[in-house]
Amino acid sequence: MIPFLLTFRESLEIVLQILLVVSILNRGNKIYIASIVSILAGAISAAFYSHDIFISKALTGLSFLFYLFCIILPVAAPSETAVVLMTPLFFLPHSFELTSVLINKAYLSGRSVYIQGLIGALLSISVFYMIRRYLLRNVQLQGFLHHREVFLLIATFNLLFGGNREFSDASMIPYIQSLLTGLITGLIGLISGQLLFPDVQVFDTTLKGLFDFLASPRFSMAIITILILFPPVYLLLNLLLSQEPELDGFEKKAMIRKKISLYRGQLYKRGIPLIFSFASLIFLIHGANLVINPVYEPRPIGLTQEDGLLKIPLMDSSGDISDQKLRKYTFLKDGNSYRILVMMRPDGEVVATLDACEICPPIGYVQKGRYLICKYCNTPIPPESFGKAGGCNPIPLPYRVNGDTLILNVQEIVETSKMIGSKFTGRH
Amino acid sequence: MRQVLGIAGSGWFLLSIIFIMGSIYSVNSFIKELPPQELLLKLFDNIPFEVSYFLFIIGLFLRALKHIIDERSKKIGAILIIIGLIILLLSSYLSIRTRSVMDIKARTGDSTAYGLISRINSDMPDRILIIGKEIPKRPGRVEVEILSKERIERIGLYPFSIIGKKALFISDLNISPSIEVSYKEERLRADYLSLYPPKGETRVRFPGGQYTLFISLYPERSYKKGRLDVNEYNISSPIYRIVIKDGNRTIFEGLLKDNDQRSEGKISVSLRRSGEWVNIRSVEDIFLFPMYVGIMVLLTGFMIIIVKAIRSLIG
Repeated sequence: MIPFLLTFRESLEIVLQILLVVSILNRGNKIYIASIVSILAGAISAAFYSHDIFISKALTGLSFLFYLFCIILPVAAPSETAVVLMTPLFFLPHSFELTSVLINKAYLSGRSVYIQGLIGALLSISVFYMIRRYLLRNVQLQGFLHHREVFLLIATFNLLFGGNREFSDASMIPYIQSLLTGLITGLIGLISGQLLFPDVQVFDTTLKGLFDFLASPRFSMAIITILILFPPVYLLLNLLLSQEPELDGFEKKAMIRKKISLYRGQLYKRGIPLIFSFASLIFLIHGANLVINPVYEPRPIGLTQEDGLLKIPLMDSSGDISDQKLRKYTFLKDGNSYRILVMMRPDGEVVATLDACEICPPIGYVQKGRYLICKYCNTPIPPESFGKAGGCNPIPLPYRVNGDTLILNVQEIVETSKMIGSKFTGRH
Repeated sequence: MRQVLGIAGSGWFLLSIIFIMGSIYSVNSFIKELPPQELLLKLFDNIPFEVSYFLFIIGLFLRALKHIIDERSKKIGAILIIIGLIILLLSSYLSIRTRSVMDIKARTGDSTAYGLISRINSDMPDRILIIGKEIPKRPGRVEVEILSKERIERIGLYPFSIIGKKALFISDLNISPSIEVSYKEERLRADYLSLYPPKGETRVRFPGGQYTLFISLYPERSYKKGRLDVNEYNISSPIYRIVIKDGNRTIFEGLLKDNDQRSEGKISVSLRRSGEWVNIRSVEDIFLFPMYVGIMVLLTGFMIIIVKAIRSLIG
């Protein structure tokens, strides 16, 4: 991206966050000073240390903790003063990364990058000034947001737009998740060493299963999910369980209605940003889960018949079948399309099945990790049982292997495919 | 006094300390991947970490004190968790500073500082089948019998055994022969190598540095299953593939079993005492038990909180 646009975009992100905080809390000057100090500290550190591998790695470690901190902060933030003190924390790593990127670009394209960067930053500041001067002059955000919601929104905002990871185009949650896995693995090593738990390479020993589970990406993802979703859920529950207005003592119904209306208005105003954050975070976690456990669904390869036979090479441009990845093939017979799965089981046996089972409608299967997953009912099929009939297992096909070629009989496939969904539809 | 208690025993103070310690831990662990024990020592050589660690313990202590002074006897679970944590953190620190560790590698029949190794009982399989690249691993145990002053001591994996002031446990188990090689004026003796599971060659340099010995387990049977290579290894009576190289030039290559001796030209290779060996780790650490006590107190605190929560839900 052009340095001018990059700096403008990033600076705008920062100033909008400052604007949000300043609008909610009447501590403008303190927040400005703290933010400017923090941004300058990030930029100056980058100017001196952006090429230093030590600092770069340290920043990786710190940003991990920093983002965890950001997530927890909305719940922990006890007062407006704490928010004022904490706000600049958001800007230091961001400013460090932005300056580092500019320095690298300047190294490649010359010093004009700095001028472009400066123009971008100045433009974002003028946008900030105009919004503050003309748009927010008569808007009272204090009644709309509580300081905790502000922090939650900022944390969500940083997570959504990648925070200081966006320059490397890496998604934030898988990044935090992988760092947390590393942290847990290290801590397990420390604790087991101190308490004299053995780590014999030959066997799986006492507590090995537990340690493996704790050090698994799945566990750290669960922790991240809890950490991320806890603040909005907690704040939402707090809001919903907040004390209802006292209506005793009001004799006029109009006054009671007004009181209730004010209470409801308050609920809506404070609830909307919370629900927005909650929904955004669910969306982010789902995305991260897909990145961590990608679903593999190969595009079916078209086959042509030769004397009523289908010949599938086990070693072709898509690789060797021993990679244990799912392969899909398709062919046409009398105007009907048939899909076939071919995969090697962990015991080395190459197996061919239909891309359908006897129970579900024939939507097919995908591969997730080592499991096949039925796209209709989400049943995970262990690879060991691939090729065995029954349940939601793909319907096995008769086949033979001749050297590096798997051979199937078209008529047998047509006959076998009559079983598709037979138990579901009652058809035979 | 109450103000000091209020600040130093507050959740914010403790959280800030955790943040500082976490930052130092992150920086140290991400810069270079160190083995856990080395990382631990490195952390405790870091003054800011050490100071934060003690501030955290003081903060915890003041928090427990605050709970007790405020007569919140209902919070017994929380108090136990804090006390358990203090015991654990203090004893861990002292353990790191004072622990002495010694490793002894031995086979059946070897005489050690603790006595004669009379037997190694292990679940090491007699044969192993490796299909493709997947190496099967299953739960197992190992126990060593040591004959000392007409008493038999048994040392296993976990829990550790206590002999005198030392905690002993088996920290490694493997198979290897004792190899002796002589070539020209060079002599090489290698023992206690880690050859199991059979996944590659183990390399040993001759003392002079010019020659290298490569040793690995050799399959008794190899065949194809489906499209995968299957190798069957005999572990109780293993065959070893030995290659000796002078730079990139192979000067010896052969399959040998236990008690085999082979000479080719100026090179002579002999194998003996093939079989299991164990590494017995002896740890002298008077703070090991306080660490376990801390964990027990901590867990008791958690249990009380859980039980109380369940009771209040039912009630």
